[in-house]
Amino acid sequence: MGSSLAFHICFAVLGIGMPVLLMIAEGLWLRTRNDVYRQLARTWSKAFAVTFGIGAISGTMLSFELGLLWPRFMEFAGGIIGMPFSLEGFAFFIEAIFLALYLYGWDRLSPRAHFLCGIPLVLGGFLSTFFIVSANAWMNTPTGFTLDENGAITDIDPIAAMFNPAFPTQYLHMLFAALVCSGFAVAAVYAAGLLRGRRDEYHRKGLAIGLAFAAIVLPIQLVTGDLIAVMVTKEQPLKLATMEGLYKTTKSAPLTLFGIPDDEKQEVVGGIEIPYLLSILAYNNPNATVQGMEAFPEENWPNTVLVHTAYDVMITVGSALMLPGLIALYAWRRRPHWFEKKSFLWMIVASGPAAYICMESGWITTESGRQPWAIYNVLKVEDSVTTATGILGWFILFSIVYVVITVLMISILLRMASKRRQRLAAAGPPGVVSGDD
Amino acid sequence: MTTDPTLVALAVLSLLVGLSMYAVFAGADFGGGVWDLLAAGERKDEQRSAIARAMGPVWEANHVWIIFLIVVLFTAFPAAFAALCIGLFAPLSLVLLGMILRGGGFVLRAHAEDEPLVQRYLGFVFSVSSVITPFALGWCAGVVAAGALQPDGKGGWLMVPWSELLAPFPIVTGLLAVCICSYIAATFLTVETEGALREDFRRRALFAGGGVALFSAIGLPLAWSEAPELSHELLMGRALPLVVLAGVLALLGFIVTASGAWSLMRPVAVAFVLVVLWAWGAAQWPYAVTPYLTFQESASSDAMLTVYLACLAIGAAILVPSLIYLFRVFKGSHPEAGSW
Repeated sequence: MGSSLAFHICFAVLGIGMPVLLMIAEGLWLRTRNDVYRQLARTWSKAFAVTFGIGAISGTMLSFELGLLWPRFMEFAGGIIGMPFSLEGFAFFIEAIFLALYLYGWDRLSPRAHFLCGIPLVLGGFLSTFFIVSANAWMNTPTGFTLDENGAITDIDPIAAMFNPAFPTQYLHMLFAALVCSGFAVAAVYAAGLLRGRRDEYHRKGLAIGLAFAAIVLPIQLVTGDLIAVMVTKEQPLKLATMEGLYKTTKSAPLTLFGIPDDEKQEVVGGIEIPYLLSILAYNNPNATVQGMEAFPEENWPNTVLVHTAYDVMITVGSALMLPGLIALYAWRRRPHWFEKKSFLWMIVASGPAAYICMESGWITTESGRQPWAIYNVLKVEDSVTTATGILGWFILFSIVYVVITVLMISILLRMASKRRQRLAAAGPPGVVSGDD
Repeated sequence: MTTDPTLVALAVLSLLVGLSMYAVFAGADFGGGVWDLLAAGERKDEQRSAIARAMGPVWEANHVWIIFLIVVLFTAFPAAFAALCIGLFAPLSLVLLGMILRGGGFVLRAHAEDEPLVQRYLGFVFSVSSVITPFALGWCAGVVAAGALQPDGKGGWLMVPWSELLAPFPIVTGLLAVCICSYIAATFLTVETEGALREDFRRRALFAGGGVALFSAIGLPLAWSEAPELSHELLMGRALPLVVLAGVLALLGFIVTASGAWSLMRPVAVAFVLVVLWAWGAAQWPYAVTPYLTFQESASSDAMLTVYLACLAIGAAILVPSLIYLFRVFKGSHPEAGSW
């Protein structure tokens, strides 16, 4: 399940971010009538069709797996938090319908109608995230029901379950993560093209749209990251303590970066401490006391090494991603020739995978930080898995299928790009774009 | 605390409507895969590209119905969902595998234009999995109707043993599902094509219709011994009128297809599939898992079902016009799909 989710999320973020970028490019075309923008939008829509198709498949996989792997979790949770899943079904529907219109409608719809089809596409992606994150947030902060003394669920309030405490911040954080990832992914592709000597307007504009977009949304993402830290402090103090590698309850707690948490010695080996910062992050007060892991029974501790490391990776990589945007902002007015520099382009290329690493490690932080609970303080993972046998064989089979599909998809996307070049080389007059995707 | 029976009935109804949409639209896409596999004769390539053109813009939207069904099932009937997923672990995994390979094969094939070998291989994956998926779905329905999915007596469920999975009745229902999909796909393709190609698909529609008749004829007597609850309702109970109607529609379908009355083929085929499904639904009611768990017993709380039904109404108000727009643009007066 974990591996399917990690796989799906890669496509899901594109499903959220790409429609926005598509609309930007197409909107620019409609305004400026510069054909390069239209070419960009068309190329992206083709590539997006492939990733969306694969995303739809991996999403199907997930909805089945919820039942096939976690039937007892679903039996417990379905009656409380099934609502957002159903709504996500609708949102996904809207996305699929308007994606089809968008992709196949370039020549069938008027330019304006076609552009307008992008709006429900964007909304569908945003809403899908809204509902799915709502369900995930509920696993962190389960509300909207009461357990009586026999362990039976009563007083179900689906609306309260959907708008649980962790939801607003978690939603914003995931949404902006998706936008950042999409922006950097696009910028990285064009930076790679420029590095290969395809120095034309098509590539420069592709890079500019992706990078500008990512650079604008990233600072907002840092703010949502701060909001989420405050929320986790309040709702899941053990998760916060594990993320930070804080074993002992501490007043004026420092932020420990890097290092390896050692459960035996109850300290982080080789970490760098920044005084007061954790208290400031969690409570906006340098003298606040932050609860350590010692305040909780050890049997409920998550995997400390994994959670702390994933968290470190997320914040370091996330902060480092500010660099390309800042440099570009500076260079834009004063040093335009920097945009042609190999070192700058290489940095952009690296920022694509970096954004993905950042997003995945954030996801590992929140999911692993909840262990051993499937539903925080309510249901443990071991009590939610299926009683069916023979799972391993299927797991291996599905993993192989995933690997094959991914390899094929990447090779087909690459081929798409080289085909475009060949076509242009054969047909296009010199001076016009001759680039890849 | 029991759930309001009216709410339960409405939720079941929404499931059945979703299932109907899935059967007609996605059923046609699966059937398209079957005909891709069985493409033959001098117009082999034309047949395949007609199928790909018909499916291209709509298959993802059609596929979403199964997601809708799953999420509604676990929202409204979580206990039934858990039972099905534990008991039918193996066949449902096969359904899932089929769906992944079908979608993956189709999407990737569409973009592998320059690689005839890769394209042929992906086409094979797509078409074979288009046979497997409806088979496995029909198979699951047969297993449940046969009462093979049983409680373990400790509040959980047993995995259905292979001996029961491989009983004749579920296998026949699986084959019946494949034939129904092939019939509806061939019918749609007949209407959407012209000339010799249309003739190809018309003959295929007749052939698939024959398969439907054959497996129905084998399935009903088998049901008598293997799935008594179902067959009693089908042949002597509340589902009988629908069964008779299905028989009439089958005959009508044969007549309009054989005589080439194009305009009538699609409505008759759609009506036939819907009536078959609703007959099955009426016969299986009130059980979610025959005969151990009713929908009533497995339902969520009143609060959940109320919110769900309210959202369904709002969602449908947005969804239905969007779907109509989609099909208007791509399936309207210009059967050729747009290029991109």
